[in-house]
Amino acid sequence: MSEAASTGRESLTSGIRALLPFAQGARASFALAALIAAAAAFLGLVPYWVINEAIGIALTPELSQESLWLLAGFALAAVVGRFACEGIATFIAHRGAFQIQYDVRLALARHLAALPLGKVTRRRSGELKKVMADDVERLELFLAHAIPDTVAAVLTVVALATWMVLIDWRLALATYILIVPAFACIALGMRRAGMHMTEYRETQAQMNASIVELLRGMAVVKMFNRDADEVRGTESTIARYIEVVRGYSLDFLPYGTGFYVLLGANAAILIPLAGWLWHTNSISTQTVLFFLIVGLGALATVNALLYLFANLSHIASGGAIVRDVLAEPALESSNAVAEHGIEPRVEFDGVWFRYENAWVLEDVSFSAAPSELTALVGPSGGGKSTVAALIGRFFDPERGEIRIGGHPLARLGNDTLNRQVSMVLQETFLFDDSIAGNLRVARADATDAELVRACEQACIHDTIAALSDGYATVVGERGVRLSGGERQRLTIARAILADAPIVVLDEATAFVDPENEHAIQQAISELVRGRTVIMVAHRLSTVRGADQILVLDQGSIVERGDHDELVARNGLYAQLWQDFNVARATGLRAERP
Amino acid sequence: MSDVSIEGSPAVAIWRLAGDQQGVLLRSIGYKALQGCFDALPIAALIWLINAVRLETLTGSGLLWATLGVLACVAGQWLAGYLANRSAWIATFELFGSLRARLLRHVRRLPMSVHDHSSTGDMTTVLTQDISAVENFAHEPMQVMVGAAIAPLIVFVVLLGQDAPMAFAAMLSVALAVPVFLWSNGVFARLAARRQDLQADAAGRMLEYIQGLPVIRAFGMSGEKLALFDTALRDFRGISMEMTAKLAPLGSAFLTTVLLGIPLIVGAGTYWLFTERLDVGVFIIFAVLSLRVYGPLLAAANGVESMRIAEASLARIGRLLNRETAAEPAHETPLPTRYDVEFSDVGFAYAGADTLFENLNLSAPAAAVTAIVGPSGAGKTTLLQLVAGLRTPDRGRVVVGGVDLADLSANQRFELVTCVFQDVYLFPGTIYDNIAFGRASATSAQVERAARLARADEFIRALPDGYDSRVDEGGANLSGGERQRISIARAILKDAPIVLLDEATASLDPTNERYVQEALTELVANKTVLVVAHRLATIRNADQILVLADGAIRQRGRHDELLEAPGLYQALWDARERASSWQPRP
Repeated sequence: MSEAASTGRESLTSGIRALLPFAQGARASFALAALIAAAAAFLGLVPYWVINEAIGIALTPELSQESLWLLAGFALAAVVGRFACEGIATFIAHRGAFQIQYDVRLALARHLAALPLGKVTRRRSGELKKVMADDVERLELFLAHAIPDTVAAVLTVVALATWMVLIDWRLALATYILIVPAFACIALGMRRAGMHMTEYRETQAQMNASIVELLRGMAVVKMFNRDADEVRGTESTIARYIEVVRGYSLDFLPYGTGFYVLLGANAAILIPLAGWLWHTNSISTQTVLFFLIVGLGALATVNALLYLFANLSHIASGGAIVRDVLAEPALESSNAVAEHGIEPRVEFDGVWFRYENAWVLEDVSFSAAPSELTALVGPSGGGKSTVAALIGRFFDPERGEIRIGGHPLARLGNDTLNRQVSMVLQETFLFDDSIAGNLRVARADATDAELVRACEQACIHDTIAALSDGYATVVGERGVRLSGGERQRLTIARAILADAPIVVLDEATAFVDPENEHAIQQAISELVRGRTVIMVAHRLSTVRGADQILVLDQGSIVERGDHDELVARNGLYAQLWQDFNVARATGLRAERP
Repeated sequence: MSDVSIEGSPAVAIWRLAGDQQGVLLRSIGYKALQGCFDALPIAALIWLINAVRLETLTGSGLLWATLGVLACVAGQWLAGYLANRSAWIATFELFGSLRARLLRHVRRLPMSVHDHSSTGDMTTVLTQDISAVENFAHEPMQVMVGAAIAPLIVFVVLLGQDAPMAFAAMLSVALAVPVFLWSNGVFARLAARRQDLQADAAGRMLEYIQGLPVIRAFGMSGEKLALFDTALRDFRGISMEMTAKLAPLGSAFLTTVLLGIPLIVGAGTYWLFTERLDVGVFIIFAVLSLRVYGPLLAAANGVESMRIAEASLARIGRLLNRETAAEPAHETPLPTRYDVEFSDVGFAYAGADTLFENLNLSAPAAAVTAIVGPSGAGKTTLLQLVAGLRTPDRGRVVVGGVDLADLSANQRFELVTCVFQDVYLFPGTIYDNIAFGRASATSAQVERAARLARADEFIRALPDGYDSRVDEGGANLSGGERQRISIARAILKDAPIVLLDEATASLDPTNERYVQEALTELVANKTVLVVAHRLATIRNADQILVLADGAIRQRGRHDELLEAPGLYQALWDARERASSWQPRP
């Protein structure tokens, strides 16, 4: 990105186009900040005028003391006024920027919740956090700094240049002419450095990846006594990085330094030209001094502008990422169906689904009847968890339809769907909040007695009651750490509290600590009572009594029936059942006959 | 490891870290000063021209010489600037490169207990982001700040030569700005620390929000409806606005004070002009230069923020460098030749937690399976980690074949054991590399044999590139059972005499589970096996069962013996049997 951005005008304009919409939210603030910044810019020119006038007075034979004092007063007022204005502009722009950051983060949060959930869960959580935290953070640089600074810098450059041209166009030209070679110089430098740029980025990425890998695998590396080798390997990527940046800097620095030196070198042109023009009597002494005062510093203001533009591309990439996330299409839903009287029956009708290219589900059809247990079994990768995810509308199928009580999921509306279906997944999630707070996520108005009842049913009440702060105990980072089994039972209590008529269990019995397994099972038994249950299971003994077993293999339902029927059929299920029993009976033996 | 003090200003800390690059850094500062001189010297030409036009003494040859002088200065400035930047860049690249390597070597010597999840993340941040932040500071803002410190000094010296009282007047504003700068810097540091905390908090809540999206969506708690999330964002917005409200006036006050030099020069000049102490020519020179003296100082103020970031990063780097490394024995002790394991009076506690083991005694015979069972939290996994040398006992001894593990080096300890734990770690690389990792000198025949024994050969050959197939990060393109079999193949290849096994609780599909069981059976043949056992068959077949509870071995024996005596084991076994036959019913 930065390679393209640093060279063309195209990326600058597209960068601004990506960023400007974010300013909409506080347009008035930014307009005001820009206005005040413009005032500050004009006040910043006053000292030039003051010095020019003061020297004019100094050159006249009868010095006017009063005028000089007045000029000193003007300079004082201008300096104070300029920075007062800058301070106010900074304050207003930052306030606006912080408000927008807050709004954008909330908008992202709401949008992420409206996206197909699978799109979110398949991305790394760190990546999305980077968008919400870091990329939004970078917007501040544009909103709070770039907007007022650019206005001020452009105005300063334009005003100074106009002023100079009005006084003497030849010297004005001489003041700015070095911009041309300076740019030629930096362009050349960029071209030469550009050859290294890809290599630089690659070696830096390799180095960091190697470091991250080494640290992540350090425990394993040490256990296999391979740490010396691996550290050496990583050190060689560091050495390579140093070599590349060294080459890069040696190639770039002559030109980069030349750029800055040229932008400060117009004395070399202004001094002879002004001297010669004065010598030939074509300009006054006053004009010479004016250009020595104003002209010599003029390129610094151009430099400030360049610096802003160079940074803009970096900032813009953050804005573009945020914009892209916000533009991802959300799930469509309408609340067309009355909430009451929906029959808790789940139907798949010719459902086809894929994440990328290969089909994960091909023409899956089944119906899970109210108050029945439907089990999904089969080899890993067969599509069981995808079926579970589709019921929770983590994704929409590409073809076919999924219905609850005869209504397509999209017509149910998110809230209604959520009140119909409880998902209990292998991964438990609790907020860093009190236990009561975590439970009330399911129902904000639940009474304390209801919390206790749900926790009793989920076999977790006694554990909570034994904690020093009971239901007020904070769990997670800042509080008590619960064991995996306890967390699982707490999420089951949450699902009991939510009281949805359909329960989807995806490997919920993949217990974390087996000593708790029995308690978790009891909790699940409470949760599923009287509901429609769809359950993904590897441990076949748990689904022996299921009303309906669906055997999924490579995206298709290859067998269906109850346990006895399927075993008798002697197909895939029978094979799985046999493997299950062999695995169950295999114990470890150290001695070999 | 020498103690590295990384306190005080980042420039000082970088200087301390520089080591053998200090000379190069010094050279860069020298060139920078030279560049400042070349930058300031054209002022002489400027002064000459002002006087020449004012007194009408300008000559063509004078103009030529002045021009040549300025051109020479431009060339000199370029050369000195180039050399200064080159030295500074190269010194910092070398410095931070060797700092990375030094940190890695340090991490390697830290106790194994640092490699749990949270500190791995912290170390990664230090070694990637923090170092880069300091590196970036050292390249650009620090150079600007060094330049900003040098340039006004040189101009001041030039001005002193013109008129000392006026020169002091010109510098008065800079002197007055210093306390303003320090004061605002103090306010900034205080607020920045608070803001950083709230920022970290908000970022944590954002991550939590994203990870919790399934729950948030399931219960309709998106956006501001989730109070915890919204409050964290509001607090962060609040502190940011407070910071701006407090710092904008302070920043303005600093800049105003610096540039007060302009009215001050005009005022002081006027006063001395009319008391006839000052020549008009000198007055003009000061007036012209007043516009040029203060620029670099204003530029330096922009570097303060990245200096703060560098400071925070340096503090984290320092904390990592100062972590204590694991102790290694003074003398090399030969490896044991028998492989029975014994704990005698082992005491162990996690930092900041209650004692886990008071006086733990046990023995695990060689070439036999010892199953460890007990309630959760009893320390079953910790017990395995003590055998592996991943943790060291606070008291007592862990002895293998008569040799105290404390007398062995880390490398020797790891030669004795193989661990097969639940979270399988695969490197990005080929499957072959991942298995061959088990032994440095493995031949391809040995690798394939290990894969066959681990029941992995068949599925590996079925992959498009066979053994050369790439493993994605974390092994995402393989199923859980396949990943486990690869890690078992790696362990078979290593062929260590003691096998430590934390039996998987997460369930695999029945076919994979069967293969994994068969692979494990190959791995443990004729080894000393300690297994945290969850599966009934493992427990039933074990040569010895240890029931661990409340920090001690409560019962030991074979399954049949233990089942007959009433006690903890009976209860545990009952619960497991019931769990294994559970069926939910709507």
